[in-house]
Order: sequence, then C-alpha cells, then structure tokens
Amino acid sequence: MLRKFNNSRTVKDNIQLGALTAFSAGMVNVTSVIIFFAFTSNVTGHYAILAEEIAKGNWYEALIVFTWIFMFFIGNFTSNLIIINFNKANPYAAHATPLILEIVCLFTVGTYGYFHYQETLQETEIMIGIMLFAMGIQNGLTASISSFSIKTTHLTGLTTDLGILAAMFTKAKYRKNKAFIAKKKILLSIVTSYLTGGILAGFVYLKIGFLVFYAVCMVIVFIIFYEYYKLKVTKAIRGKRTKLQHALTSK
Amino acid sequence: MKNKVILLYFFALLIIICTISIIISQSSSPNDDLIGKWEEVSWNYEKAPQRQSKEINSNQLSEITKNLIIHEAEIWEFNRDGSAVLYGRNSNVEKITWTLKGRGHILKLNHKNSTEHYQLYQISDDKLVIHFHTDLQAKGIVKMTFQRKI
Repeated sequence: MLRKFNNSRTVKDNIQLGALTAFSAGMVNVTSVIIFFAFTSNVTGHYAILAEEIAKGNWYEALIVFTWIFMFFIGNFTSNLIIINFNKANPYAAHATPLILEIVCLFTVGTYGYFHYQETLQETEIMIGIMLFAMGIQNGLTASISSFSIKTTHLTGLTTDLGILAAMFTKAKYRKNKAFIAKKKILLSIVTSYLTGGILAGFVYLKIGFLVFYAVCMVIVFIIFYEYYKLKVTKAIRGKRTKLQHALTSK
Repeated sequence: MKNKVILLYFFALLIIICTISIIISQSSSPNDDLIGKWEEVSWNYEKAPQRQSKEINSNQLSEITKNLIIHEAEIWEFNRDGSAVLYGRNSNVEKITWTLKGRGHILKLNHKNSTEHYQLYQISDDKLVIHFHTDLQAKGIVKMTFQRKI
C-alpha cells in the first residue's frame, strides 16, 4: 500500500490506501465542521469564501481563508517534496514520513483541544490551519504515489468520475472493461470509507470530544504498521526462498 | 542552479509569511469589531409568508423564535473578556458568554443550559447583521440588524 509507487501499484493497493486514508479524512472533516464550523479536508469552498470576503472588503477574514488555503498547499508541497527526494533510497520511509507528520499535526490538535482549548477565535483559526496542513499532506501523498488516481480528502473529482463511469456503464463494451471496473471499485471504496469515517466521527465526538483525533491517529498508525508488517513478512519469505535455493543448488 | 531554486522558494515563502503577518497585525479582528453595545433595529424573514413584504409581524416573530432565548433581548452588549449582557424588554437582564468560531463568521452564545449559533453576516462600525438557524454554508432564515448604541 505504501511501498509501491505509480505503475507498480495493484488495484488492491489502491483500494487499501484509498479506503483507509478516506476514512481518516472523513473523520477529520466532520469533526472540524462540528467543532470549528469550517471544512478542513477540501479547499474548494474556501476559494469561494475567499472571493466573497474580498468582494465584501473583509480583509482580515479574506487573509485568514487565504492562509488556510496556503496551509493545504504547503501540506501537499511538503509530502511530495519528501517523496521525490527520498523515494529511491527507501520508498517505505519516504511514504511513511508524511503520514507521521500528519499524525503529529492531528495529535497536536487533539491534545490542545482536549486540555487547553478556550474557544477563542485565534485558537480556532490556528487549529483549522494545522488540520488543513495535515489533510494537504495526506492528499499529496495519496495522489503522488498513485499517479494522481487517488485523492481521498475531497470528493468533487471522485463524484465527477463516478458520474462519468455510471454513464459509460450503460454500454456493454465499457461494462466489461477491466480498467473501468477497477476504477469503479476504487472510487466506491473511497466514497464509502469517507462517509463511514464521517458518520462514525460524528457519533464518537459526542462521547469523547477532541479525543476523536486520537482515533484518527490510530487509523494512520495502522496504515504505517500494516505496511511495515507486510514488508517484514515479504523479506522473511524472500530470505527463506533464497536459502532454500542455495541449499538445493549446493546439493 | 539548484541553490537558485531553493533561494527562490525560500524567498517566496518568506514574502508570503511576512505579508500575511503584517496585514493580520494591521487589521482588526471580528472579535474587536463586535465589542460594545448593539441595539436591535429590524428583523427580515428571507422566506416571508407574504410575498409582497419581507417584514414579519409579532405573531410570526414569536413562532419563529419560540426556541430561541436571544429574541427577548433588545440590546446586546459584548465585552472583551468573553462575557455578554442581554438587556430585555421588561428590564430583564441575562449574563452569558460569547465566542466566535470558523473564520469569525459564527457567533456562539453560551446560556446557562443551552448554546446558540448565529451567522455573523456583516459587521461595520455602526451596523451588525446576523442570520440565525445557520446550517454551515447555508444562509440563516432570519436576518437581524443591529445598530451600535453609543
């Protein structure tokens, strides 16, 4: 899920990565809407609000919204910068590092929110900025390692693709096309996970408040360790095979 | 060449951060704009029952606001420490706390046992317009206009 890059990725890899990251993005977005009244996993709405605030002459608000968009941009920039610089040396580390950064951001928001949040506007603005940075990191990572075929923090493009696919599936020749079938599976898994994450976060937030961010961190930690485990298992199997081959050739 | 690119990126980032910091330090936050006394002057119902007018009568007003505590107040006073005082029609006074959410566009009022959210639509030196029953990016149903009381 995290080790493979671009064309070497299978449909299963993309579904696993897409579903798990979309699940965490759904949780983050719904929680931020409940607590802060702002979306943090997409910026389309923020662009519209930026234009509205500029038109109204509300420069403070416009600048705050611009900063949020910039934080999302920087998140994408950071994760891709890490990937393109360290991918050759160690693909797993290059792909896991942005996720660790994301965990740090969400853990900070969760901890600060639970223990220190006084509900001031400044705190709210900063925490939204951190969450947008975290979601930018995640979006940049998934898009980058899947050749831009997976974007898990916003569903505009995904809904567009689903609509196009649904129209194409009215023709028998497209319904049998393996690439389209795979695409459908990936898209549906992302949208289902995003929704499930969002609904779950809505319920969980009512019980544990800001600690819901720890649950999101757990999902991302699972992604990192699952891959690490698979990496170790694959290495062990390869090692055994090599030993067996050596033993057979020496006989 | 590589160093040139790094420098270019670094300076671009520096310029953006400096610009944001300078403008934010120079502009007034919605928090500061709200401080003071505000007197309610009008109510407008966006989906008015009668097509000719968007004004609402007292019966409609009480129907719309039956679950709202705030509508009893004619004067709202916001203090810098996060407290607020609502002065009612029959000399009723209620002390509450207030805070802004989002980008400063959601006004949250904390009563003793309940919380209300209003959308801060417009705020200037002498005019405050809020919408209530806001649902994220949807507009509120009722537009309340206030004038600053000196």
